[in-house]
Amino acid sequence: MTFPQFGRLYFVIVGHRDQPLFEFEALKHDDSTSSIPLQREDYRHLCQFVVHAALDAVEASLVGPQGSQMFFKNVDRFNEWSVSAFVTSSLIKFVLLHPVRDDSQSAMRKEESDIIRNFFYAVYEIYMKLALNPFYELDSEISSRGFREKLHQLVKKHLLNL
Amino acid sequence: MARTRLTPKEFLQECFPPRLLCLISEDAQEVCQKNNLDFIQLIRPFCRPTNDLISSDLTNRRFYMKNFYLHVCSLEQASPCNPNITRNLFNDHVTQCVENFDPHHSPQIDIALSDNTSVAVPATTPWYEVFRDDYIRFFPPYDYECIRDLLGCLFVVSTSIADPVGRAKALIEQQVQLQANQKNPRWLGPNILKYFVVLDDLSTSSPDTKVRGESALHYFTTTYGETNCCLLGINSGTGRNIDEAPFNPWENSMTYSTPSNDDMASAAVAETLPEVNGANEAEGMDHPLAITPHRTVTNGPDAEEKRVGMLLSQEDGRRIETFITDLVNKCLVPYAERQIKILNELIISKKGIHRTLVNATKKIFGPSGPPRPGAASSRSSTSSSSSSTNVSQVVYMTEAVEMHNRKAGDLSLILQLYDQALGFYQSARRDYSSDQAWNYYAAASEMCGLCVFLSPATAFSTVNAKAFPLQFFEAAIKSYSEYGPTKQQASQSLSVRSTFFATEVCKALGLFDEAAAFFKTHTEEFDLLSGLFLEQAGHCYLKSSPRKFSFQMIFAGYRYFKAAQKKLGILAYKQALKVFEGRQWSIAEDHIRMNIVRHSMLLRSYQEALPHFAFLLTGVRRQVASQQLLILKDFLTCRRSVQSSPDERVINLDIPLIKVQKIRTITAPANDSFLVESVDEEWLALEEKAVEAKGHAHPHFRHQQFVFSDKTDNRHSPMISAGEVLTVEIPLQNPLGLPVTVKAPRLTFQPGNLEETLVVEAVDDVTLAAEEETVLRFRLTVKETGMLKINGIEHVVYIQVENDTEEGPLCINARKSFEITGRRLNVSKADKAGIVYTPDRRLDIIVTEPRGKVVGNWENFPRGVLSGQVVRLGLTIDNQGGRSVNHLAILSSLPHVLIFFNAPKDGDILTLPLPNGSLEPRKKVSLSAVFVAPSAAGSYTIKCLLYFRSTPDGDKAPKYGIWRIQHDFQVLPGITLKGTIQPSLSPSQKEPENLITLQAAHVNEVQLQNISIKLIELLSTTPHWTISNLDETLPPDQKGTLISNGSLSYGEEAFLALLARQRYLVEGDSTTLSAFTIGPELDATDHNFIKAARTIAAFANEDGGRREQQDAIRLRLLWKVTLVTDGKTSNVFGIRSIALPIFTRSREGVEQAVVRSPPGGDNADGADQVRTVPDIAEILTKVPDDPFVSSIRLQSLTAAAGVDGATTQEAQYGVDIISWSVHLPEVEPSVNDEGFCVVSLTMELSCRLTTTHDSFEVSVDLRSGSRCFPVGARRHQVVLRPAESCPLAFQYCFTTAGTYNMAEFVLVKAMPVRQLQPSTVKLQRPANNQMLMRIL
Repeated sequence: MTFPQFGRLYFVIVGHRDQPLFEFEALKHDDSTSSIPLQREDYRHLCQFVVHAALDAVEASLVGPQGSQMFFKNVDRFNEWSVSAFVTSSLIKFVLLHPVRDDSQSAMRKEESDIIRNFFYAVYEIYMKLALNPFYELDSEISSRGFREKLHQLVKKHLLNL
Repeated sequence: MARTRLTPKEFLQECFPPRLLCLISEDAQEVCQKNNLDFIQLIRPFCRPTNDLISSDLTNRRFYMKNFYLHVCSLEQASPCNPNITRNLFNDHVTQCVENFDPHHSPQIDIALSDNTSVAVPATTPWYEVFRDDYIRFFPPYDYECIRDLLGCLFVVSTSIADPVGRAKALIEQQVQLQANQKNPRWLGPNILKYFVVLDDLSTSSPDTKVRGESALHYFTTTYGETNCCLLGINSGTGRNIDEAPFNPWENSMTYSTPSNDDMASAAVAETLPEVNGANEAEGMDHPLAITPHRTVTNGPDAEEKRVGMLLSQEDGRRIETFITDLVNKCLVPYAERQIKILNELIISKKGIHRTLVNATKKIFGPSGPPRPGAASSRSSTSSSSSSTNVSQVVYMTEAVEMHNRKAGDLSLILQLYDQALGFYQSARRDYSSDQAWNYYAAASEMCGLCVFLSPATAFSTVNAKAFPLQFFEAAIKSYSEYGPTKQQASQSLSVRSTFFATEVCKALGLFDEAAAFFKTHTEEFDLLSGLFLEQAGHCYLKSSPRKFSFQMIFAGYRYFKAAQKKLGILAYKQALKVFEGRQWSIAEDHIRMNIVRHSMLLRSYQEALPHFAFLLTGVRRQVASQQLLILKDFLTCRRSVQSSPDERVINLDIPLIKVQKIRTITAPANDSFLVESVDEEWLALEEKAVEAKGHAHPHFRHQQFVFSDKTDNRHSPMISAGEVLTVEIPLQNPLGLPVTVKAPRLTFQPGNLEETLVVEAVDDVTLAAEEETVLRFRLTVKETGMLKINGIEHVVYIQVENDTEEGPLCINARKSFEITGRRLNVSKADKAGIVYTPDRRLDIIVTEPRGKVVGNWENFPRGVLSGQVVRLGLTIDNQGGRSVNHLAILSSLPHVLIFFNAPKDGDILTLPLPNGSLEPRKKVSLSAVFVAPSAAGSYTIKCLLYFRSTPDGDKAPKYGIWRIQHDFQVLPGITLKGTIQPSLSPSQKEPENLITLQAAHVNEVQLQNISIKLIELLSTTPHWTISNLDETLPPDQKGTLISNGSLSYGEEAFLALLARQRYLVEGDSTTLSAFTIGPELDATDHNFIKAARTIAAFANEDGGRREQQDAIRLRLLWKVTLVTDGKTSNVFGIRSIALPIFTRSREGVEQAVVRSPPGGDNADGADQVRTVPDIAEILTKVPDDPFVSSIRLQSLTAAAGVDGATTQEAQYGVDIISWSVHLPEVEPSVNDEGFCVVSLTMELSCRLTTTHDSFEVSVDLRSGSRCFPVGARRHQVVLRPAESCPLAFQYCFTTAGTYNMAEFVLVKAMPVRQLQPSTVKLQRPANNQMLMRIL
């Protein structure tokens, strides 16, 4: 398979049965001019494959020495993609696919870790608000438009510099 | 990793057997061919001796060799193959293996998924083993290792010719030529092992041949040694002897050796031909594998038709076995041991010199400098081509000192002396490393790894797996891939072989993650290999990470597809799908299914593709429309191919999606809005009541049902009488992104007697846009009685193809049969334990004899009314049945809001009068009724049940019919009415008199904010009470100002004081009701309404009068609202009712009653089913009956206002602006004989402010208490300038002696005149909070 150079982000919330509850694909600004939208259909499934496969690594980290943490950076890696994850206390997993940074930019990597952590905590906050809604059943698909809009804002706020 | 046939140890041992070349004379070959076998085939089954084989190392320790295997090959087999051919061979073998693989009958392994479910995947991957074994078997020779070099040569001659020794000499000559001139095959050393076999054909044995054999053997014994020759007698069997048939070990080994599949062989040749260039033509084409197809085509199948080895007896077998054992034990092992010893001595002797030389050069030229050609005597530089590409290529001559270690190691390994081998390899490895001969280094490392694993001394197992030095393999793979032969040079990569070894070792040690890592390091261009490796990597993850397994399987499948291994690819994708299935990873799942479908279609295995279409086409819209079209086309192709008979053009298709469970059957011909689908308890109660009252009571009461849907109980069939119209509604949904047209839909029926007479209205073609939903409505009329069963629908689906001019629209004849599952039962224990569904009979229709059928609808029943509004309604009754209806009754859930004139009432059931006593079929009649809206605001649902009986006929049809009309309406607040009554106690009067005060308020602030309500008349509906207006007697200036024009604006209140006198009724005079008008001028409509109100009162009283006790005065306030819409005025009339109970005198005094009207009125018995809470405005205006409570409430209110004012007013003005006090009379008044006293009071209002120029509007509200009320106007308004003061006079009527605090009853509010905001109205506290007045 030839994989395009990913300049994009893919965020998904995964439920207890490994099913995606919410998916969000974000296009970075500088990519919007390129021909990526044309290729988009071609590898949307790849995002799902990568995230799904990374769930094993996420679960492995949960039982690992750092298992009490919520945020797991770079649990898995696939070609140009790195996978970071956040696991809520109800074992709902937030998984973010983001482009791998160059190893040389170690200072940037540190910063990147903070950016992603902040993003996850911000998402966690809106997710908790959603979970408090009596009409939302835990572990069910998130169809709230408000949630999507809020997430869009969070992506814009946190991840555009990633 | 997948399970394999061989254990890792067995596999690794088998990779490196001792190899011997076999040169056979033609005569010897002929002897063997009598059995349809060549010599190598003949001895192959015996090449794994079972006897004890013993080898000893340099220290003369003895080891038993296990799984020993001797590899004997012909000259052709010993030569390397053309890489293109091998590659095709691999492909073909794998294909063949996959063809024979049955996933359902192979061992399965369960993998546990995260949600405690598990899926089973095949545990074996035989194609991988086939490939691996082939890869090792046809591995080309490399300079970096000697382990696959030939140890020696077998020379086979026979006694059938005169001079076997001479022939043997010729063969020896041939071997010498081979070794001297040709590069291949490679030999371990110059001094090879020579072994002579003299075949003696016992079937043609004669003394002559015996002698020849003996002499030849004698010659070989004397020349080459006793152990190096053997006289082998074969063909001792008689051929046709049945007893010897079981002895046939060749059958199995035959197919193993040569490829015999015609197709693949010819394919191999065909594919090879264009690629063959000059360089490898000579080498490639004369190779046995290349010509195998021709050979097998000519004699292969025939030869196998004949029996193999028919002349060979068991005795022959034993002889061959002995021969092999002797060869190994007496010749090969001693030879190898001898060679090891020699090599070892050479190594020891040369070590010193060599080392010093190397070290000297290194010291001179520096350790990092490139290795110099000729630095050592035996070292030569590589050929110019390879040295230019890779500087570190070092090639040793075969006899180089550096190779001695390697050779000794290889020989030790062959003899299974692993520890010894490890020693040699490690020293070789060190040497190569210092020489930077990386390829040699890699080869030695690889062998080190193997020796460590195989060595019994180290004994690595899963227990100490972590300690295993995997770095040997890692180093090998790394060096191979960095310095190994480039792709053009190497057909098969050494690193791949290392990977095989490494992963086998990892598998044996249980290091699956490491194995996966080894597999994944390869990014080969060879797709098949890559696919296999990825698949194996997936299998490594199987236990620990099932999701990674599926990911790897996707990749493997992808590579398989690229390698044209479609079946294998589909297999891999299917494994991946098992993990993904049903988890809403829709895009990923679609991708997998699409690939499965596409490649299954290419393989023409339509049956396999078929189930996946359903998921692709009916799921959530995920593909673009054009893609869906392609899928659909594929589906049709697939479907047609699978279908048994090609003539059948009708397809059971789910496009558009027919929601079978939601089909509705309607046995009434009305439209949707009048149909009651959910028959709730209330309906059942009404129906039961009606049926009981009409005398049809039955122990098993079953209500009548018109709609049969997924919300109803469908255990009983719908019943319809002949001639009536039945409606079947079928909901459709288009799951595609393309518009779909459904043409000529028609229902299909189970064969019966009714289809001929059935009339079905044609249904138009329906076009559904993308994802649109619609309902197909079929209207059927049945003429005959019987049973009608609808079992499906047939239609033609047209799908317009865009951008495709050649083809017309896709046109599919589709049908869908209806199979409806009923409700799940949950009553009995069996139901709860299992899954039991009720039969659903909504499509099995019973047609009965004609009967009457009433369909009733309301005419102009409003959806929104004001409380108490009066509306004239029509009830249209339509007999749509086949017989006349002669009895009709109505029963309503809100019995008091509907008034039918001339309708006899029995309980709540009204029997409706029909004109001429009956209603003929197809006739319509309209009955008029009056609707009086309930007084409490809120949402209401009125359910009216029409009960009818038709002329008696037919025994099966029910004796009666019902019809349900449900109507929802909203009651908006309008007027509230409350009042008090107190008896007038003048002893002079004989008839009781009551003083009544009424308070009416306009409370609708939404709809009628700017519209006033006109009060028309006050009517006493209790005939024996007359009423008269007390206000009339007051002087004009004390009249309530608001009443003067008779209308109320929003927020206003009107007060009426009246006197009620009892009168004695003359019989039959009940209609003359006492009343007085309120408004000054009344128009014609008002007068009409006044009349109507009396009629309504009469009908309402008919039962009410009887029921009511004597001791209540019922009053009705008639009102009107004039609405102007679009220039037209319309009047809305209404009635507000109140009932005032009359109390008799008690011991202490007179009891009073305060009555509020809303829940009262003429619906005082609370029959109204108010769904929502009463209007909030009414709750707020509610005055508690207890005066004590009311005083507390008021006080707290004033106090709260004071606190509030303290912050705002004090900031503005300091204190309350107005100071006021009520001047109490000096003489305490007393209640007169008639039970009341009117006291004139004055109050003083003064403005405290002196500085501002604002003037204040002061309003004084006089409130009623429970035992006192103001007489005259209730509100006074004064404008006060700063520092001004004014008196105000008013009157209060007290009914009981006691102490009254006037501060409770008088409320003063002030508002600056200029200030526009109404929010600045402030409640003014009295100067004295205790203005107590005592009434005696």
